[in-house]
Formats: sequence, C-alpha cells, structure tokens
Amino acid sequence: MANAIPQSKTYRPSMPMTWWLERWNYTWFILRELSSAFVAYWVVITLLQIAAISAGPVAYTNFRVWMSAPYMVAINIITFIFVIFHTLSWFRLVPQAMLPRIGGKRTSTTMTSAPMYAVWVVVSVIVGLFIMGILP
Amino acid sequence: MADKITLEVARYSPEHDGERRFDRYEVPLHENWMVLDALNYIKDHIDGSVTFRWSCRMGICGSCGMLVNGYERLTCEALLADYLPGPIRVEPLKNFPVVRDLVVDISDFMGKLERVKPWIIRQPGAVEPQREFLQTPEQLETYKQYSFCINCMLCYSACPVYGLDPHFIGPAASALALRYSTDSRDQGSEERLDVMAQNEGVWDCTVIGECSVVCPKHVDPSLAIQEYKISATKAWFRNLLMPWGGK
Ligand code: SF4
Ligand code: FES
Repeated sequence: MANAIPQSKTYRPSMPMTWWLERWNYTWFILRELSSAFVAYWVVITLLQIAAISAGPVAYTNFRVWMSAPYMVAINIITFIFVIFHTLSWFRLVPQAMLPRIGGKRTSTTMTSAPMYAVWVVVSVIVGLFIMGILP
Repeated sequence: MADKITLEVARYSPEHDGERRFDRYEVPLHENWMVLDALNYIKDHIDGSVTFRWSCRMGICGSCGMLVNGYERLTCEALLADYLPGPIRVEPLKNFPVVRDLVVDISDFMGKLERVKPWIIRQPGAVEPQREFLQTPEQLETYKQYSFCINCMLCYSACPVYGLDPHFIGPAASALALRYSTDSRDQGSEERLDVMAQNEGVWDCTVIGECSVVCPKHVDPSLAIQEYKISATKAWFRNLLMPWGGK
C-alpha cells in the first residue's frame, strides 16, 4: 500500500449535515429514501382495509368514514404524491443499475425505460377503468 | 469578453495555520485557457506557493481533479470562459484528507485499487496461448468502457457514501475490478468477487449515481457497482444450491 501521510498533518473538512441539499442528485436520493416510509404507510392502510372488508359491512363502513376525515384525506394525498415519486425514482434508477446488452452493445437508457413506463400506463388505465366501473 | 477573471483558491498549509482559507487572484482571461492554465499563471507570476497536481494537460493522466465552483472537474478541461463573470472557486476534491492547498492524500484510493487486483490474473497451470491472446470485438466491448478510467478520483469526491463511510470500496475501484473480471483473458474474477461482495464492497452503494455524472470518461462506475451486485447475488445463490462446487 502507498505510504500514508500522517493524519495529524492533513486537513479533513467534515461533511456538513446539509450535504444532501448541495446537489439535485443527492436531494433526489434522500427523497427516494424518505418516500419508502410513505410506501410502508400505504401497505399498512391497505392491510387495514382488507381487515375491515373481511370483518363485515359495519367495520368497512367505519373504515370509510375514518378515511374520509379531512386529515386522513390530506395524509393520503401526500402519500399518493410520494408513492408516485417513489415509482418514478425507481424507474429512473433501473437504467442506472442495468443496461442489458443486445448483440454485445449496451441498450440505451430509453430502451430500458420505455417498456416500464408503457406497462405502468397500461396497468394504470386498466385499474382506472375498473374504478370507473367501465370494466366488470 | 472581460479580460480578467478572479480565482478564489482554497489554501491550507499544515505548518502555518492548520485552517483553511481562500486567497483571491486575478488572472488574464484568454479564450482558450483552462482553470489549470490560470492556476499555473498564478504559480508562475503571482504566488509560487500555491500547490496543486497536474501533468498531461489533456485529460488523460487524471491528476488535476479539483472542485470548480463546487463541482468535480478535471481542471485541464474546465474552460475559464465557461465560468464568466467569475469569481471561480477552486477547492481540493472532497472526501480525501487535504495535504496542502489543492493536493489531497490519495493513499486510501491506492490501497483500494490494489485490493481489487487491477491486472490480468492467470491461474497457475492455465494453458497459455503460443501467440498473443485473441479477442473478438464483442469480448472487447464487454470491458472497454470500464477500461477508460483514468483514476482521477472525481467519482470518490462526488460520492456521499464514501464521504460518510471511508471503508466503502468506491466507484472507480469497482469499475476497474469489473474491467478485469469481464476480460476474456482474465481468470481472477472469483478473487475479486470476494472483495467486492463484502459489506464494504458494493453493498454499501445506495445508487445515488453522482459518480457517473461527474466521471469525465463516461466510465459509468455506478453501473459497474450494480452489475457487481447482480454477480454477487448469483454467486451467493450458486453456493446455496450447489455448495460442493459447480462454480
Ligand atoms: S471512474 Fe471516472 S471519475 Fe472515477 S476515477 Fe475513473 S475516470 Fe475518474
Ligand atoms: S493534467 Fe492530466 S488530466 Fe488534467
């Protein structure tokens, strides 16, 4: 190993607490990590919803009343925004994490991302049609 | 175009102050001058004590990396005129101990480089060809991008994970490990995987991706790390399913 210079002779600036505000990429990363908490919250709410449905109509009505309280609506809107962000941030990450090769050449970022966005749009449309009652 | 521009250069000298300060220097602004030319002008004409590393002046030796207005750049490739009207703040790379002014201690990086054995490994008893090794264009393509690394360490400076945990093997060492492990002539990928698959190997990486953004040679070290994660996972499953060999 190369000879180290004595630590006492060097200057090591410490990383400021606000390092993640210095660059857009850092901030994006912290938001991505933070958004996981909202995804976890979403999962808990979904589990509670399933529990309420299986407990019968009264429990489910209570659940719906609880969900329509203004503070819950507000929390859920924020959660929805963060979950969308979480999804997009992972889509953005995939070409950073793998670019499959076709005939020895790496595929482009668009080639990797486009199918994911396409599937996302198709699935969202199908779910939307279900919610609107157009699909059975 | 203005005919002068100001540089604010980070200064640190262990024997005098032990603290960092910024000195301001006004230099002539020539159309083709790089930040490195301005630093050399300062050293030759204004203040001979300003200390920095450089060699090739053409973006290939990897020794002139610094922060220019907060971002990692090879200073021999950073055009002064791009930073008009100035001032231009020049600092040493982040995440490394500063030895003096703009010079950082690179021994940690050198140690990491050594750990990933960045050379072609042949196993004892391997059948050596009677002439040069032949490689197809596809085989070359697999590692070519990673072979462009010039060890400039801009990626280490841009990586907050390395800043927070200096044990992290880091971007360039990973890219170089993969450069050799995916070379058809090499037989050392398992030895390297042992280093890379440790906790302080690739698993420390949280895919912030800034290393690939600042890399002046488009090596994409972030991609190399993720490819290593995939290899490490595959190897782990292989060992789980076939503990008695089948490597
Ligand atoms: S990977 Fe890029 S930024 Fe990192 S040392 Fe190599 S050339 Fe420099
Ligand atoms: S002086 Fe060699 S890369 Fe800049």
